[in-house]
Amino acid sequence: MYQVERTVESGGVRVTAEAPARPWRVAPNVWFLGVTSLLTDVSSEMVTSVLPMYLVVHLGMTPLAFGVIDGLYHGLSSILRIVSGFFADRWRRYKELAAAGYALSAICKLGLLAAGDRIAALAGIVALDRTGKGIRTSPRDALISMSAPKAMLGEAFGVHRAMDAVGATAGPLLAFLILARIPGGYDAVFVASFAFAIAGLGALLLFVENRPRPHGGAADPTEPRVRSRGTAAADFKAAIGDIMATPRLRRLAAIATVLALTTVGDGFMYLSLQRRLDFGTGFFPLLFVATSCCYFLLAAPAGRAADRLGRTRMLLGGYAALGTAYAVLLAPWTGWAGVLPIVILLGAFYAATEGVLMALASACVPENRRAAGLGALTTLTNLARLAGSIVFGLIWTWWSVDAALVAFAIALAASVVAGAKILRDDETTHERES
Amino acid sequence: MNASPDRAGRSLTTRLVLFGLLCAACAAGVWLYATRTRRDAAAPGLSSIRVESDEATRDRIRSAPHLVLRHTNQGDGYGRVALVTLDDPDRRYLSTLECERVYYAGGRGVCLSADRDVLTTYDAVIFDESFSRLWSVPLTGAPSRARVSRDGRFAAFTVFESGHSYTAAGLSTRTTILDLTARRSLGDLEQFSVVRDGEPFRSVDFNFWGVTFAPDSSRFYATLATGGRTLLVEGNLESRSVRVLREGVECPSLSPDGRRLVFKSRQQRAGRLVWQLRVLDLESKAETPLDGETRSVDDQAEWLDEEHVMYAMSSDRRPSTGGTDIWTIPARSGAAPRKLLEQAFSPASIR
Repeated sequence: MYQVERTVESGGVRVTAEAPARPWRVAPNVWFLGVTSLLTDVSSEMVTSVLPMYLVVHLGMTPLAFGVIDGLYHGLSSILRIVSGFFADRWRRYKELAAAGYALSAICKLGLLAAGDRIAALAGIVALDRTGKGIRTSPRDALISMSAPKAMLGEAFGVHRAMDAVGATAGPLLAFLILARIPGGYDAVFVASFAFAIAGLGALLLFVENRPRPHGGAADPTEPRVRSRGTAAADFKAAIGDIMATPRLRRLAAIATVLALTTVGDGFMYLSLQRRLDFGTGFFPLLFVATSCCYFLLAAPAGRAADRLGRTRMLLGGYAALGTAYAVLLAPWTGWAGVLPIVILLGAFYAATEGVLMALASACVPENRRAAGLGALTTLTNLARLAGSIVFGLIWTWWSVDAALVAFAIALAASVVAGAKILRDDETTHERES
Repeated sequence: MNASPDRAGRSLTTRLVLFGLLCAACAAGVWLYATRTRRDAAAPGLSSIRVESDEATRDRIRSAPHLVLRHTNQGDGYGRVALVTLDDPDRRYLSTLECERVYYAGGRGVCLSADRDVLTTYDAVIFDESFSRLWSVPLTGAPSRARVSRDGRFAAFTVFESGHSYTAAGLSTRTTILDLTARRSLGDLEQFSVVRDGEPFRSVDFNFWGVTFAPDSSRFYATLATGGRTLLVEGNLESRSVRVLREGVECPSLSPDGRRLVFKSRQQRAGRLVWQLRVLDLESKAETPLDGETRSVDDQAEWLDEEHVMYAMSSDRRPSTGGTDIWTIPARSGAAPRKLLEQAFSPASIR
């Protein structure tokens, strides 16, 4: 049981004297990774939120040209996560790889300034920025997972994701504030974004430790000291093999992928709400902000609760919240009163799934393939979400929004039931083992 | 807290101080940049532009052929609607209206304005010859193009909407026509019926943009994009229908005599996508590239007179600060463009 595991852990020698008094026993490494992510997200979301306007309205590009850049923006980062995770594991240099990714994205913010209105240069810089994100994500998640004892992984990821969400909420607000003060001041937005990126990189380099010890205890003695396993290519194949050969991870990945396939993106949720209520699309940013506010308020408590009550239960509960949001959208009586429940349910969904999935995976990845394993899982779920939203868009286009929502609601319910069956068995076996 | 192996010897306090210094340096850098560029952009080289706001200047400029445009000089009335004559290009009358895009004809103007708060919202404001707001309609997205018919009876504008395609950030366009006399909307062009080769034509991926009105103001031309192609359509406001004329035409703009269209045409040049202005003779269907301009022109052009068109380009100095210049080019092949006005955008020629 998790409860038992927890008591054993805190009664053990590892815990420092002041630890029991602290309500949130999250390792310094996690806090500082949170600070890094917060600052970096302010930086990247500042740019993301003004980029369409900058390219299309300000530089006068047509939507077609924008579409090309946008495609690059989204397509690139996924596969890189596995590769950078693999090298982070191989060299055991998580912090360094994460730092390289953060640094690359930081430089790109200045590149946006230098590119002016040359579309090829802008597209290249946006792609590089995405590359930076692809490089940093898995080593960072691996560092978080190494910085918390197994019983408290949910809490650690919850705290990190909450701070991440604060940054993602503050970024667009800050960008629009700058544009309100300085009309046409996109250059000022890019410079401010660069400054936040540098501060985030500084937090990582100064405070985050590469071989973290949960709660300042001694280094984990079980830490494998595998240095080299032949050529990188052979080792990469071996890494994929190791990851695939972990049954629990395989089952988790399968369920997470199916669940992600049935997830309707926020954009589509807001859009169908907008169709119903007929408000201007100018309100979309407000809905995004409200959702991420709920997300950051709920992420840490949800992670903590997941550690106590069972992470599988929390993950599936999150998807149940998403299903409820579909139902609210579909209900014929949903009017303006439906906006708040939908925003809260979406926030709860993210809080109960994003960090919790990482915590679940961290508990079962092979120790020496940690970053690559986490990277592979997020790559799969990202691709599944993209595929899901394409399918949703197609059903919407050829039939109707309601048809798409009904189809996704049924698929989601089926996946949650299947997930409950398959993963619950896993969790109980695991608890008996530990 | 234990010192990590790679930071041996540096206490947490030292690191916190270093981090504080770094943050302070970042903040100072941003502040310096923001204050300095504003001063630079507004200052030398451009100081020849004088802005005035008195009615005498306004009336004097109005007594001759002139341009109504958006002033884009940082520091003194950026984004305001201005009047200027080409005889005295350095003196501008600045109104109090602030717009992202503006057009004026027949005593009526349309100003696509932004209310930049935490949440940016946009409106189309209809104004009269004294720049007073008459009425407005909220826009559903960021402004792109605007036109008013020659008699001031109709206005058309295009906005970009986000979130309408498969990727969350995808953009689509919406083009709306307003009846300025009746003060009501005639709806968006996607509600008009479309005819191609005599057959009804429908598709879910229709996007309209870039309206230009015919001199009789009941007809108009516009771009219809569908299936990755851009089509020139001719529309009729009374029958609420449009007819496909030809392919490869974007952002048409009708000449004062109503016989030629200047439009932008998408071209591949050395692997790069560029837009070139071309002139289409509506009677002979002959196309003339304005190939004296080698840069990519991405604007709905406006006719300065029967022989010249004009368009905006990002200013050579720092495009990211929002400066734009207006260029003009003779409407024939081989003629070179020249810069007409600095720090200006969205011109309407009043002849």
